[in-house]
Amino acid sequence: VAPQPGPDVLAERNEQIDRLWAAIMRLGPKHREIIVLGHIEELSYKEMASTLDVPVGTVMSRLHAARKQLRAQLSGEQP
Amino acid sequence: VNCQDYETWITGYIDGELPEPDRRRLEEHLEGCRPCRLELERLTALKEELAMLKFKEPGDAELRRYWSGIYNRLERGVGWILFSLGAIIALGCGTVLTLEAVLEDTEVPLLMKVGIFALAIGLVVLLVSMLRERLTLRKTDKYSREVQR
Repeated sequence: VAPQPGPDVLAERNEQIDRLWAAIMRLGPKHREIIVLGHIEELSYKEMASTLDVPVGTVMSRLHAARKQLRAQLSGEQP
Repeated sequence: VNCQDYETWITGYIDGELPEPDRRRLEEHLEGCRPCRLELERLTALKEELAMLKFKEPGDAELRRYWSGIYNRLERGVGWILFSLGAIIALGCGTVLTLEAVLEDTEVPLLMKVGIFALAIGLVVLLVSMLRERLTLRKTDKYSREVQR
């Protein structure tokens, strides 16, 4: 049985998750969509390609653009 | 292929989705290109951070949802009521049967019978007295409701 993380760790993790979600919500619809498919649904590139009806190459470039945008959002809000 | 193309490949690379020939070309490029190596590190860190979104907190929220179900609450309530009722009936019956057996037994001396009878009556009186005390306090104690919460 893995040890339960302490309340401070949990609180920090929750805060970080909230911060991530806030940043994801600020993305454009296409970028948000690909982040959710890739990181929440954990689909493969092939699965995302057939879900979105686009080539696999487009999945990769869109995911890349979405992550860069997300990183910019996350670093932009930090002091 | 320039650095910008390689950068896109880095995303496929860290997701394990880059086809073999491209993967080898990217790895060769990474060896000689510091900015791309830095980008690889940063994108890997971001991916690790995003993995937290999959993390689901068990505990309070789950528990509250469980208890909000009317069936679950009913089940637990009915379980406790049946258990208590069964315990009271079994204990009561056991006591009465034992008393009966002892009082009817001709080999048990009279003094012993009187003692056991007094013990049983005393227990019942104490129980009733305690119950009455509880009930009276419940009616008159104006703080009990707040304490109960």
